[in-house]
Amino acid sequence: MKTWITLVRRELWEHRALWVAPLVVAAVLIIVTALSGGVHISGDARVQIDGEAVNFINGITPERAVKLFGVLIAGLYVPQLIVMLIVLGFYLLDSLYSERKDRSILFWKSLPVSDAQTVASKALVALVIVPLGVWLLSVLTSLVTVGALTAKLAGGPFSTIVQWNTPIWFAVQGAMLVGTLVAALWYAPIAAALLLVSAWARRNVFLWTVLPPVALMLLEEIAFNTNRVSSFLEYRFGGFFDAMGMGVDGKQRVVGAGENPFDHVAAIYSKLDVTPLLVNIDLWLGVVAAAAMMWLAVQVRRRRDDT
Amino acid sequence: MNTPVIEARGLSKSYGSHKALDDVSFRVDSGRIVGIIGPNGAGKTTALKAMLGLTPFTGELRVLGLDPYAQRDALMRDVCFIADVAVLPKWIKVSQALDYVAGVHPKFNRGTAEDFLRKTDIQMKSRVRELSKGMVTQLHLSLILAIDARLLVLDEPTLGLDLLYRRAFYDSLLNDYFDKERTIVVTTHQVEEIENLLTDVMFIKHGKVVLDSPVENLADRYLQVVTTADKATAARALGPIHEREVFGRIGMVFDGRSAEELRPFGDVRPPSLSDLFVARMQGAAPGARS
Repeated sequence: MKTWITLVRRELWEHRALWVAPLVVAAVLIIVTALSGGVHISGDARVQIDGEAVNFINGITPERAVKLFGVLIAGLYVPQLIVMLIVLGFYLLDSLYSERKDRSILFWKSLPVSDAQTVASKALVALVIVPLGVWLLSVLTSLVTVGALTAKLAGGPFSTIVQWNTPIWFAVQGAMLVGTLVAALWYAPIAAALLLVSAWARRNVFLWTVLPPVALMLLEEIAFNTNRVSSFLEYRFGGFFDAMGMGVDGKQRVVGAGENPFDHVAAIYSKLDVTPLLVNIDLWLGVVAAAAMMWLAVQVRRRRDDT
Repeated sequence: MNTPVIEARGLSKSYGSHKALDDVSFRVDSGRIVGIIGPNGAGKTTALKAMLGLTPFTGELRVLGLDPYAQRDALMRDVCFIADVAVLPKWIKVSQALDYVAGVHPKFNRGTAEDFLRKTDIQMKSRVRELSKGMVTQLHLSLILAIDARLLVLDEPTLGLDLLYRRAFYDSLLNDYFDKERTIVVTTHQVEEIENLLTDVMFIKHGKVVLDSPVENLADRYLQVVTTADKATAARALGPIHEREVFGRIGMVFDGRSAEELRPFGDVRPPSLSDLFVARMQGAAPGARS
């Protein structure tokens, strides 16, 4: 246990972006809400809810306000998740590469830590530690921002827009927590593929990540005029909500064309049920593939001695 | 004491068609300081990497009774190594390096490491990238010497360091660390530097061990005589393994000749390790070979 804690701390020491970036995003969110609370909204501002454009102030019924609140809470996650995905992508690609580039691998390997522990610690950080940290930070952020916003608007003309709703708040946070954990399983093969490239590539990890899939897609397009590769990648990258059974018809994402964004974001918390995903064979095939690629990354790290 | 710390039998390692190690056998006993000496590319680093489980190999190799490649993490509880200077990660802070080793190494004594560091100018909050090369070595050595290991492996540990740091490095190694329970294996191509430190030497050339002997036995076997040109032909009849001409005087190194045999040709003395190294690496001089 002490070893694992140390291994995780080591990752956070080296890759400070893993915790600095979420803190910066949280700070920006708090500042923006704090400022926007005082912004004047013109009397005829409209918002799209339930398929109709309603007036921002008097068109918001209590039911719609509940929906709006849920969307607001869930929406606070969006910038955090986008930044987290970018940071994690770079982290994984760098994690087994930079130690070879600066030869510090010879120091790490002089200590009683196995290659499997090393690779596993990096996957753990990317799939569990950072996402849970970001979730926790988002929970705190939403308390601060929405709490402050609600208090600020209370009694004023906009009080109907943001109304604190404890059950909805918990529902969203719970949904996000479960979603985070299941997403870790769904995205594990992508993380493992990045780790494998990171362990294997002599240089240009980024090119080795991007070029092979692009080349495959082009080849397939030219040779067979099909695009199975790209739809597969689209499914694995973007299809988390599809796979969760929340996609509209397998083509459209959570917020698909012609769909009402609010209803769908609202659906995330109101209909959260991970069962379809947990019984989805693709999730488990992905986990198996992830395990295989991580095993390969361990072998590559163990075997190569070009430092 | 009878179980060897390192035992290699038929150890080989190839990179493509290049044989970095070619059927090498040797053993290292506890309490010795063994120098593995060879020119660049002779296979010393490959031998060390095999011992440390950093590379797969063929043949048989046991270090502290373990197979290094299969059991590297277990082996590293009792083995320390400094691969060469400047492999500490640039981003790490001194305090973090201490935290890390303390977190993963059951035999690390943080107090000892801090004591070593107090004798230096290294600050706890400095990052490695801010330290000079000499200081990085001091830091690395402080970490390693605070581990209660049975075997310490050093690969060109003082490469690129100035003389003061090199001296201090070997001094603290001998004074603060070495005792009869421990074993040190060190590679270098700077023979002079470790000459007086070693109990055993192993010369490696083209992946083969060309000499493997306790230092105290070398004087019984190898002798050097400094002779003049007029006596050189007679001396050559005794088969020197190496000869070198300096300022008209000819130094010859002999293997297995007695001092009595050689005395007629000039001053006889044991060759320095450097002379012996050159003799072994270059082989006989062209004149003697033809």
